[in-house]
Parts: sequence; C-alpha cells; structure tokens
Amino acid sequence: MTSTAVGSAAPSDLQEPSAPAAPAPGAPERPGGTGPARWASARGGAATALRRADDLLHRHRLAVVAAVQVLCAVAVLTVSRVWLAGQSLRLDESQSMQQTDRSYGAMLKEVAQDVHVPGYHLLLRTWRLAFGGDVETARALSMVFFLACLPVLYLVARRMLRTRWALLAVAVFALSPFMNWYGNEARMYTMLVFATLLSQLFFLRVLRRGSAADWTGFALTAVAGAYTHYFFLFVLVVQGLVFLAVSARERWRGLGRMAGTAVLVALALLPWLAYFRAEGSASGTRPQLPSPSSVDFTNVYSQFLGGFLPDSANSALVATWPLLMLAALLVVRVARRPDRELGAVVAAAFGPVLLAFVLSHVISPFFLSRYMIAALPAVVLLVVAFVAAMRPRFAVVSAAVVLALTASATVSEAVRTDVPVKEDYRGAAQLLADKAGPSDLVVVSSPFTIWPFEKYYDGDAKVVTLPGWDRRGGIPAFDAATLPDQVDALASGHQRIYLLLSYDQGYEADIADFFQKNYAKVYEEDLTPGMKIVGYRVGYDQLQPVDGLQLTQPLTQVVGPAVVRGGQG
Amino acid sequence: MSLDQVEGAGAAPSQHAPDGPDRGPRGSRSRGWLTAGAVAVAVVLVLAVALQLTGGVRQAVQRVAADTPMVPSEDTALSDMWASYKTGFIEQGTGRTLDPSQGGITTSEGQSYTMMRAVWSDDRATFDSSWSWTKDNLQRPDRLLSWRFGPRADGTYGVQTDSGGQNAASDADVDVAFSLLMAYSRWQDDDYLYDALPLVNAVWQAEVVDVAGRPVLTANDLERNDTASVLVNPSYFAPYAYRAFARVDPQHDWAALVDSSYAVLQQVSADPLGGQAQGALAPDWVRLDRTTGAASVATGITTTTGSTTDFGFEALRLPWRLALDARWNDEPRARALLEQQASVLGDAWETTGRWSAVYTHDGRPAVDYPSTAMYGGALGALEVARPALAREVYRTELLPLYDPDTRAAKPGLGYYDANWAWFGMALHLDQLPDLNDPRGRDLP
Repeated sequence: MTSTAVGSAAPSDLQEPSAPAAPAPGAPERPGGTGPARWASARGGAATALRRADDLLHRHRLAVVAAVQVLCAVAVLTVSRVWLAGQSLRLDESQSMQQTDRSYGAMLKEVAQDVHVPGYHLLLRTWRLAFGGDVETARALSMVFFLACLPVLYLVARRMLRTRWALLAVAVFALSPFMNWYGNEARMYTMLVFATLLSQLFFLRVLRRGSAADWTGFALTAVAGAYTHYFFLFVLVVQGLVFLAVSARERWRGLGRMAGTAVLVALALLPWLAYFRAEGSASGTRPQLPSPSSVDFTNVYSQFLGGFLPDSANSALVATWPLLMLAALLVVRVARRPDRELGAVVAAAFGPVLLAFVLSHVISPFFLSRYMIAALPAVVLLVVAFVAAMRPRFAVVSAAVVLALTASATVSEAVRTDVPVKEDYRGAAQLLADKAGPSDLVVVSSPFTIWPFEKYYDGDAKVVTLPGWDRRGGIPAFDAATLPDQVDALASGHQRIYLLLSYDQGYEADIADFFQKNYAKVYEEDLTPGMKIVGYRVGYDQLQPVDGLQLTQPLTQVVGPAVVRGGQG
Repeated sequence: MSLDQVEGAGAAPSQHAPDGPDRGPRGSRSRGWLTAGAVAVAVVLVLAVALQLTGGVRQAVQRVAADTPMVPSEDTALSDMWASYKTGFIEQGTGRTLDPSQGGITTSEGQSYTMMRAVWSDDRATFDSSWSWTKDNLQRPDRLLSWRFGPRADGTYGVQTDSGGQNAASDADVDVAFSLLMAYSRWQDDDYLYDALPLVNAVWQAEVVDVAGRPVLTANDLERNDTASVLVNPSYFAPYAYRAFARVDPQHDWAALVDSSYAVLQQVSADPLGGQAQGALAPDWVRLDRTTGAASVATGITTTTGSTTDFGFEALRLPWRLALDARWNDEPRARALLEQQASVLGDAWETTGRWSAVYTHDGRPAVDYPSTAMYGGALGALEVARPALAREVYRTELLPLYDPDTRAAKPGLGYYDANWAWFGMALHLDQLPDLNDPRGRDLP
C-alpha cells in the first residue's frame, strides 16, 4: 500500500460523489454477448436503483441509518435467541466462567497464570456480579460488544465509503457467521473487535487531521485494546507502520505523538507483565498448537466470510480463487489509486494476521483464527469497498449476493451439527447421567475439559480425569508408561468406564488404543466434531446389590458360625 | 454539496446533488456521532433496565463491592469439601478420623461418617483404609465397635476404657454396617458383605431390645441389661438401613424395627416429656419403660442446655435420616414427621431468618446462637416438606461454607459441623443415592 497515494487529500473513487449511475471516465465497455440495448437497459436500471437509494438517503439519512442499525441489531439478537445463546458451554467459555467465578484477587492470579490479559475478565467478573452468574448472562456481555460494534463500524466505514456502502458493511458485519459465533461466546473476542474498531476510527482521524482529541482517543483505545487481548498489539504495530509510511511522505508530522502512544501502552502494560512474570509466565499453560500452514492462513479469511466450514468446503472455496479473480477483473471499474483510509484498512485486514503467522513460526505457535478476529471488520470493509468499486449493476447484484451468502453462512453455521467449533458438553453430561450408574466411572480426557462437563453433569457415577488432575495447579503430563497402572486403579471396583474424549492434547489415541486393546467396548457415541463417548466393560461382577438379594438362609450358613460368634483375628 | 460524501475527505463536487441545505463534512460527522450516541444511550438504557430487573443498581453495586466468589458447580463443591475433610480430619496413612476439638480422639461415629461419605463419594481407597483401621482398633469380639479411642492415661493410644470407650454406640454400628452394604453394592466386592453380616447380627443381638412387645434400637449395648427402662436416642433411628439389613439378615424382624421406630418417633415427638406443652420436635434423649413403652425424661446425660428433651446437637440428625427414608422408600410416616418438624423450623426461618442451635421440645429456640450442624441435619425436614425454603437455607447457610477461590471448605469448621454440613448439602443436591437399589444396574 505504500506505493499508493496515501496522504492524498483527493476524494476516493469509492466516494462516488457524482451521479452514481454515471460510468467512470474511461470505463471499458463490457464485451458483447447481451446486446447493446439490453446492456444499456440493465445498466440504466441499476443506476436508477442506486440513484433512488441516494435520494432516499439524502432526504432521510439519519432515519435510514438508524433504521438499518436497528434492523441489524434485531437480526443479531434474533440469531442469538433462536440458535446460539442457548448452546452448551464450550471449553474456552468454561475457562472464562471458572476464572471469573473467583474474587477479583484470585481471578487476577489465575489469569496471570494463563495466556491472556485481564481487561475482559475484570469486566466479565463485574458484569456477572451485577447481572447474574449464569452462562447466558456471561454471553450477553459479548453480545453487548457485538451490538456496540455496529455504529462504530459505520463511522469507520463512512470515512472511506459512501453511506449506502457503509450501511452494507454494517449489514454484512452484523450477519457475519464469525462475529455471530463469538457474539454468543463468553470470551473477549467481540470486546477485541470493539476496541479495534474504536482504535481504527481514531487512527483514521489521526491520519486525516490528527487533532489533540483524535490522538487522545487513539491513545486511550490503544491502552484499552492492549488490556483486552495480546493480539491487539499486532493491530497497533501495523497502525504504527502505516503511520510511519504516511509520515515519511509528510515530514514525520505527529511521529512524536505516535511514539508517545507506544510508550503509554508499554507503561500501562508494564505492571501486568511484571505480575504475569511473577506468576510464572504461564509456564503451566502449554496448549498444543501446531505451526500454522498457508491453509491455516487462508482459513482465517474463509472463516471470517463463511464461518466455520468443514475442511472440504474450505478447500473448495480456496480453489475457486482464480475464477473469483477473473470475475473481479471483469466487473470492477478502473479506479484511481486508493487513498490513505483504504490503505490503512488493507493493512489492518492483512498486517496483523501476517505478523501472527510469521511469529508463530519464529517464536511459538499461537495462530488461531479467533485471535485474528480484530482483522475481521477491515476484511468486511474491503469486501464492501470491492463491491462499491464495481460497475453499478454488478455492484447492486454483488451486494445482494454478499448479503445473501453471509446470512446463509450464519444460518448454516447455527443449524449444522458438524461445525468444528461446536462442543456439546451439556449433551455429553446428560447422556452420561442417564447411562452411567454408581458402579461405573466417567473418565474425562483431556483433563481441562472437566470444566465445561462439570457444569452440567448430575449423575451417580463419579467423574475423574485422565491423566488424573484435581483441578488445582498444573495438569500432570501424560505418561504412557504409567497408563496401565492408572487405568487399573480406575477400573478397580467399577463395572464400566465411560471415556469422554475431546480436545486431544496429543495422547488421546494412546488412551483410546489402550482401552480398545484391553477392554470390551460396550458403547460409542459421537457428539460433536472431536468429541465422543466410548464405554468399556472393566468388570464382570454379577453380584446383586443388597436390595436385590433374597437371602433365606440363617447367617451362620452364609458366613460361618465362627464369624458370627466373633473373636477378633 | 452532497450530503453523502465520505467523511473525513474533502468536499466533493456533486453532479446530481438534490436540493437541500448545504451541509459539509462537519455536518456529516456530527450526524455520525449522533447515531453512535443514540445507540450508546440505547445500550445504557437497556443495561439500566436489566439492572433494575436484577434487583436494582444499589444491590448490583453491593454485589460488586462484596466480591463474593461464585460456585462453578455445586456437585463439584461437594467433592471438594470431601477432599478438604480428608485433609483436615483423616490421619494420613492410617485412616483414623480425628476430632481435634476433643484432643484428637476418634469415635466410632467419626469412622462411620467417613465410611458413609467415602462410599457415596466413590472413594474406595479412603473407605478401605477407614474400615481397616476401624476393624483393627475399634471392633470388639462381638463385632460391635468401641465408641471412643485416643490417648490414654499411660500415654499409649487405644480404646479409652477409663471413660467407657469400650462400650458401643448403636448409631455408629448401624451406620458402619449400612456403609459396608452400600460398599458391597457399589463396588461389587462381597468381602464388604461378609464384614457387614456379623455386625448387622450383633446390632440386633446387643442393641435392639424388646420394649412393650416390640423391638427398639437402644442407644448402646448396655441398655439390654436394664430391666426397667432403656435409653433411646431418636436420632439413631435409621429405618432405611433396617430395610437393607432385612435383606441380608432374614433371621431377625427388621421390618418390625422399622415400624417400631416410627411409632416411637411419633410418640416421643408428641409427648410433653414433663413439659407444659405438647411436644413438637423429637428429643435428644429419652427413656422408654420396657413394660409399658411410656416415655420419660432421660437423666444423667450432659447436654448444652442441661435438658435432654431439647431438639439439639443429637436430634438434629433425625430429619436427615427420615428424609432418606422418605426419598428412597416414599415412606409416609417419615413424611408426616418431617412435615411436623418443618412447620416449626420453617416458621423459625421465616420469622428470624436463621435457626437456633437448639430448640426446646415444644419448638422454641433454646439458645441464641446458630450451629452449622443444625442447618445440615435439620435441612432434611424442609427438603421433603418445603423444598423452596430448603433451597433458601442451603444457599444462605451451607453453600457459603465452600470457598470457590481455594476450592475447599472454609477454614474453621469443626469435625461435627463439617460432617453435617456435607450430609445436608449432599441431600439437597440429590447426591445420596440408594446404592443398594438394583434398578438400572443391568445395562449392556
């Protein structure tokens, strides 16, 4: 983007301040095929529609903008109430819940031993104390941030797009399957998006004008974002780089303020980082994440736009890129070089994700699509900017297609059972409560999945983890050599062991294979992707419980006269 | 000037600008902020309404300021409290349950509580070590259990015969036998059954006495020697256990003991026992005439208030035991007694918001302080008769004994309180299944 006219004060092509129907000067004629008359008619129809939209916006802009915002909010809440808010607690959410169950001091200690900054947790703890401790209330906080993103996104979008396209961006964002998913998850991701959007808004204002108020807003949101998620630091780095590129053209104007902001963020984070270090730098938390591949990189963007698709669908989507590029070349108009706002948004869409990708290879793997969610609004803006840059009739059709596809992806994600991120611990708990009796044992692996499971389980069989963990301190490492002894100890006195396997930490196959080789499988049920229950017979005692006994003989004939007479041996 | 130009950019020429006032980017920006402001106000309003629905802003602020930890899972809290009990009261490596408040002595009652909790918690290792220690150190030749063990005058450890520790306490004998039967049923090991059978037999032989033509469980193994009257502790009565004993000991009429237990409980609960008013609650101790069955005040026993007819630290266990029989066997006589107790205890809770540690026989507070054990034991009455109130008592008095920050019981609970808090919580959470029930055991 540095080669573009960043810093130019000229209006963007996306502004289209002139009559919307008018083709840009020098726009190429579309190759024949439909005939000039039909071509002109279609073009005229689209232009007319756009002109009507503009007229409507001109006369009732505030009402229309408010109406669209409200409609989008209603759509978001509808999706939430109908499909997503009532889902089973997921592992990540159970982490939020169990951490914010604790008093503030204990919670901060727990978070410092984990891999997150405490801003969201402090807010969630307060929220739950104020409104209620249940799962749906916790999820509501994420929903509040999601809804709060809508007007802020509009303000950001209006800095680079005309009103109609800014509203389209809001609608696409509101219908986004990825956002809807995390808008209904008790985690910090929508808060991260909100902080990023505010930061982007102030950053764009800083780029354009840079008043004291703009810088103040930018600095404050930078600190807030840094305390929301570590990934936000990548957002700040990319903003800094963009600012440097712009400053290089503008004689370093405002560079001191940007440096000051960086220092402020560093100083603000310093106490937390010191505490984090004192608590062991999350040495007890070692999530098993692979180094990201190029597929993981592209999956981030396909998930942003299409939600959590099965791998096959993702592959098909990625495979269509040549066709999509060809179609794009056919429909997009020749545009001027993008202005600084568009440049900043392009950087925001790709820069942080690229940084995370590179550092995951250089330092330690931490590449998860949900961490990249801060880039999602920028991606939405780019998609809409691309649509806005099309010839009018293509733009109208494309806008409708984008909206329809986004809405379909969200509904599909909500109703499909094979969504990779769905985790039905509630279903597992209910099933095992029905199935397992007092003589059975429920074994949960990986151990930390006890958190969401215990929220729902109310059965007669005891629940333990493998490797054994008492939910205090670090989880013991898996040791294949001691597995037989561990399982023997668990099997003692029990008739069946029901394994609940989820979140493979690298040893799930060892556990499953051991049971498969040594015990008779009596039950198997796949619940959600990556989660299954397997039951094994570990004892064959056929003794009747006491209430089933029908003893008719005298005691002396059952246990012998010597025993009844007594005599301590 | 177009109203629809991009914010932040310079003014753009419009070829088709509709008529209207000339407003530039500043106006456009202000409208944008106005929109954002309107949404922010809407969000604040929604939050304010939500706060109002959850008790008002002031209460929300109080809750935040109080910073009370939340319990992630009440069933898990129960197992965590069991873990802290083991750490705090069970001697590591021996399986001996200590009562620190009495100089670290061990009672057969303590061993029985540990065994019952262990079998309900599916903690076989603790059960085995506890039973093994009990067999080795408390079990007498007749299979009953000596009731008191600890340091003796000569510095050695053993049964404290100086204070009558070699005698048996029938509640512990019954509870240990019953826990052995549950262990047999749960862990499918008939060694437990063979250990239980002689103890069941010994209870009948030495602790069940004929009173006015019906069998009655007396307080200990000495009462059978008194031809005039016998000492009875109503809170020792465990009809649910007698039903199980009937299965493994067909030689003795345990069903008759179930019936007589309810008859005695109804009798001693209503009898004025020398007082002015009719009774409302069961007494801690009572004497029964062996010929007529008439109830009289038990003497020679030290209690907190000096009265043996109070519903206090002994009798508080009775509602819990009756609640088990009501739940497991749908016993109407248990329900009737529990409803009678709940009318007193429920009114006391609704009137004063707490329970006294001791109530007089006719249902008045006898002391002005509460006790955790009372909440745990007497909760059984509300569980069956007034479940909504039971939930309130549980949430107010028992659940706060668990500290989610440390995932353990809060410090300061004594041996007796710790046990009865757990029994009450487990009853409330429906975590005390009848392990002897064969239903549902024949799954593939």
